[in-house]
Amino acid sequence: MIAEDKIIDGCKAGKRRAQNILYKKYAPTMLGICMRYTKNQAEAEDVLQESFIKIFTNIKNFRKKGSFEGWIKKIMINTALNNYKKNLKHYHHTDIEEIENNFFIDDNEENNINEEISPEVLIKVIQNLPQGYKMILNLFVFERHSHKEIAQMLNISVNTSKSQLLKARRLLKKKLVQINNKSIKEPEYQTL
Amino acid sequence: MKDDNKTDDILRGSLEGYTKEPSVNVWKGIVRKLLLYDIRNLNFSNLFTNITIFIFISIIVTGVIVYSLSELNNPSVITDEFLSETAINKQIHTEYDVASKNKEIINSNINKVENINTTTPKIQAESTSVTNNNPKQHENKIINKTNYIEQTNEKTYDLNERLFSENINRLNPIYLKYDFLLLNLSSEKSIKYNSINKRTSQNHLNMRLRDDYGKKAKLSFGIFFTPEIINYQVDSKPNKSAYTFDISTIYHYSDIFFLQSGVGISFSEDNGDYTINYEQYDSIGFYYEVNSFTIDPETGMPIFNTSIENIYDSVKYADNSQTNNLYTYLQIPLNLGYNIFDYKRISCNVKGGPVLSILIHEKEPEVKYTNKNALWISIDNNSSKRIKTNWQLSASIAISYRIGKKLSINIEPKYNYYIKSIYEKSKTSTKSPYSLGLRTGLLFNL
Repeated sequence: MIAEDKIIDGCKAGKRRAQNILYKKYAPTMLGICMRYTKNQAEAEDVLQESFIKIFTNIKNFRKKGSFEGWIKKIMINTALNNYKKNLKHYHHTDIEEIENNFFIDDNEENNINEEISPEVLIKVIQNLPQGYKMILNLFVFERHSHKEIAQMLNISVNTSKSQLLKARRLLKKKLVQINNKSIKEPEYQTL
Repeated sequence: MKDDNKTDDILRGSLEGYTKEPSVNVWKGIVRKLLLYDIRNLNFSNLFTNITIFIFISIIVTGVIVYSLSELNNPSVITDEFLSETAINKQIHTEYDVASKNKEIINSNINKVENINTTTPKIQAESTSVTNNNPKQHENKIINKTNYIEQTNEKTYDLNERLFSENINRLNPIYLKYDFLLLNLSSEKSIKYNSINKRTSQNHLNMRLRDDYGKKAKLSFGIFFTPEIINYQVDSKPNKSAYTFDISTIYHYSDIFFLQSGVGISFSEDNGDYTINYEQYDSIGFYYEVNSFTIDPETGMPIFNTSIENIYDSVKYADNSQTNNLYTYLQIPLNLGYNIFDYKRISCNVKGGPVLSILIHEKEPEVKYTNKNALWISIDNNSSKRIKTNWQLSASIAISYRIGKKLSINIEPKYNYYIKSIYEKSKTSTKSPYSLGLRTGLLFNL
């Protein structure tokens, strides 16, 4: 096992082998993060690719003062946000359709979220959220940013961030409940 | 609120440690884009070193390979191993058989001549005796026989000559190995035969020399690398280096004159001169601060207790700084050349002519200056901009060494004189720079 410092030094020297080792080490985790910010795996892989290029071309600036994984993660999230901003025009059409279909939520179903949601299912649900909701949900829930930080990052107001998060949560819950209910009902159909 | 937190915890818990293997294409894409990035951000100073080493290694390796290959086709250096191993061996045997047969014919002809020569005294003796008895009849016989002998001799010589010519033509490709055959043949008794042999051997030698070193090709093509030292004729600037890669075409329109043109890329280094002005609080002097005083009881004079206090003010400074700039030129030369000599494998020529240089890329890094104590910083660029197009006069003397039938190594000390200053509205210098370089490369005769 090669020490991370050596791998970083190798990457700083532009050695392709070191870059490959670093990629193999972090790519699966980082793709997991990218999946949350994008609509599908192909888009997530694009973000991952772009992020790793940024990592390798800017690794000289990494001073080894903080966590390297944290630094990589930050680049991934920034790239994902840039990707979102870049594709904002394309996202609006699909977002409106999504919201129209999913806006009304039955409050009685809210408490029925299964606590053991499979990651694949959850990722699919998050990926299918409108893009704006998805960004705020990710930044608030998973990255633990405050609404003020999110507002700055996405160039929106704090109130927009709060309201979007609220809607994102409700939509997510609805979808998860639907999935949960469907999975409960499915075995009954099978016995019939 | 609690519900929200619970939901968030569920979400975080579900995706904690979530990983997904990316497809293979992702890494391939990264490598491809990194390569493009590396090319775009090449460090020219390292690149030059690497390219120089690469070119010299390439020249040596190519030279060795081409030389080895040319050995196979070069008649003057056919080796025993080569003869025993290759398909040409078969050809040699065939040629040998033909030569042997021809030799047999020649020998039989020579024998005939010898027989005739030996019979001649007999005929003469016979004719003397007969002349006494029947002078007229025998005189005619003698004349006829003598004519016959002469005709036969002539025919034999003609045949010999023709056969030798054929032999020599056939044996041309395998000179050395079968020189012994010619020598063997030339040891025959016939004087005529020997003279023919000598003449054909001389032809053979001439042919060999011509084939070994070859005639000058009408058209040649070359790739060259030239490291140069440029003197910008600026006192404050040391000599700078430049590197040129070029491809050239040479057209020999007569045995001694030729025209050369082509295209090259030249990278030349230069310094950017900057003045960095800044202000900084600095000590400009000091004064004595009176902390207390006492009266001297004896003299009644006050005694002051003082301390030295520095006086600070913003002071202006100016530092000079230089950057390493790199300029890329497209060069188009046109040279008229004169062959001084062409001896065996070595030839030497001089050439000269104008070179058009077009500036195609400038790399002028910004000056970086950091001073935490500075209150104000401004940077003045004292460097003159370079003109986009300039003309040079170039002169060189080239030495070529043929390493194969179609390949030569070329070494060429070169002098370049810039007709005008290379700087725009020159603050730097109005003098014309010059450069000295060593052009090396490979020349392919088409």
